[in-house]
Amino acid sequence: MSVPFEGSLLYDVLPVADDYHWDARIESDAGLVALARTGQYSAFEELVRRYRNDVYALAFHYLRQREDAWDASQEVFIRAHRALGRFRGDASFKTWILRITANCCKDLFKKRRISTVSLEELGGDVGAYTERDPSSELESRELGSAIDTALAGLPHKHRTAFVLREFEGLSYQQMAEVMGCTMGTVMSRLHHARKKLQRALIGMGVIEDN
Amino acid sequence: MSTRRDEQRVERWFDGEQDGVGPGPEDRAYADFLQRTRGAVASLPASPGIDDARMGDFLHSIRNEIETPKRSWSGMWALASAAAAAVVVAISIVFIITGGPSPAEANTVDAVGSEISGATTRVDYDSDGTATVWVTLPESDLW
Amino acid sequence: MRLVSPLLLLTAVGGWAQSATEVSVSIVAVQARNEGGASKTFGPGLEDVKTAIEGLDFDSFTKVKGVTVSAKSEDETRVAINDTYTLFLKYVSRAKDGRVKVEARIELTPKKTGAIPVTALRTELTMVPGKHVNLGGLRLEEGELVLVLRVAR
Repeated sequence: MSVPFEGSLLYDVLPVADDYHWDARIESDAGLVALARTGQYSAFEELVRRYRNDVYALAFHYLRQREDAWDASQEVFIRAHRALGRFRGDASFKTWILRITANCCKDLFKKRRISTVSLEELGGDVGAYTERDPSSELESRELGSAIDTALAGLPHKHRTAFVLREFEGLSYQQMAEVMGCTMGTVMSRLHHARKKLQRALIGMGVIEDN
Repeated sequence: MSTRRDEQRVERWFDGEQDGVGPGPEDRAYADFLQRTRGAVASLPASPGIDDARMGDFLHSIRNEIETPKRSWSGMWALASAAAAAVVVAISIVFIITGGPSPAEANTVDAVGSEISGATTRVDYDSDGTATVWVTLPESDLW
Repeated sequence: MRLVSPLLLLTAVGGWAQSATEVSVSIVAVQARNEGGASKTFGPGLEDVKTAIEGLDFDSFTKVKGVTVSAKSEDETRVAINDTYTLFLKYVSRAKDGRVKVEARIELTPKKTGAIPVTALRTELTMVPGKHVNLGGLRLEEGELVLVLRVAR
């Protein structure tokens, strides 16, 4: 079996154990889970490396603070490690870990009482969009910034749906696995999220009411 | 005018899902809105991530927490049963001292447990005599 | 301040007796969620249990099911809550002061077809008629399930 090549992160950061048998470059997620279950912690750490940014990005979209997202991401992987024995492979590892992320962030919301800003409060407060540069690129950036702000005013489940679709690029099936609901519910939540954002953006004066 | 059903069909088409239907004349405005929002999201700076320089710290904290022994709840059921009488006495003493609801007026939880490995439980009482038993199930793709 | 320990009270009144073989138990299943609202909202049908649940750390409560059943001593009474959770109740005994011992068990049916149900929560309760007990922490598609139990007077 090959050993990680010198200079790779894996080689540099982790000591190579006597029982080292696998190659991080080619091992599948399922293979890593199986190895991690046997106690090979390095296999679990490879999973952390692969998905830390997916987890962090989703946590950041929920929590909006880098340090909160950092703490949440660590908690996600701690929970995942404890739950490895219960991962049956019915879902992909990515959707499984993102589901843990969504649950973890919900729990953090409860504990820290992180409040959402209502869409009504956002209406007049978000920047002054009275003058817009006609260039489409700048307009797109302004709209993006407004969307980013308006997301904070969405209920958790609607924000989740929009973030998973538009920021994470998940399919409806993958979203259903992450959110633990049916595809019908996914479509419903996504639709509600888009409509609420549309109303908020009209209220901010960023888009026209058609 | 587009109905909600029409809009959802357009969304499915826009998201590349099955059964999606492209926009008709009345749905064009909504389809344009979807396109603009997607383009706007794409223009946002990429979400922050955990760069390689910080991976060591990130992994270190995770490993520390994982390697800290956790209290096992297996066998708690037998322990809880054996401790039930002591719990009742302890709660009664608290009520006597604090002058809370009369012990005969408050619900009590004599024993609590779970067959799910990794589940944790806790019991709370409020001043009205309502008892709350809370179970926290571990993460799983089974439920 | 109470002058009499409840244990002495039990002794004085003769303790627990199998004076009946069943007890009526009302069950209200509640979906509890956090919507980020400024104040707590209670859906219809929760008037009787509002005081029991309003202290929980959620801001939106919706009634899932309300039913009254008879818990018996010879066997568990089964109450289907939804596709995932089933409640089982068993009457144990009633004290002369009116308190009732009941065993309550919540079974979880995993999503996977053919999987064996497991007991997510098992409790032994001593209930004062008219007072509530909450059994909670059970995940739903949205929010968590709380079962509010009360034995009849």
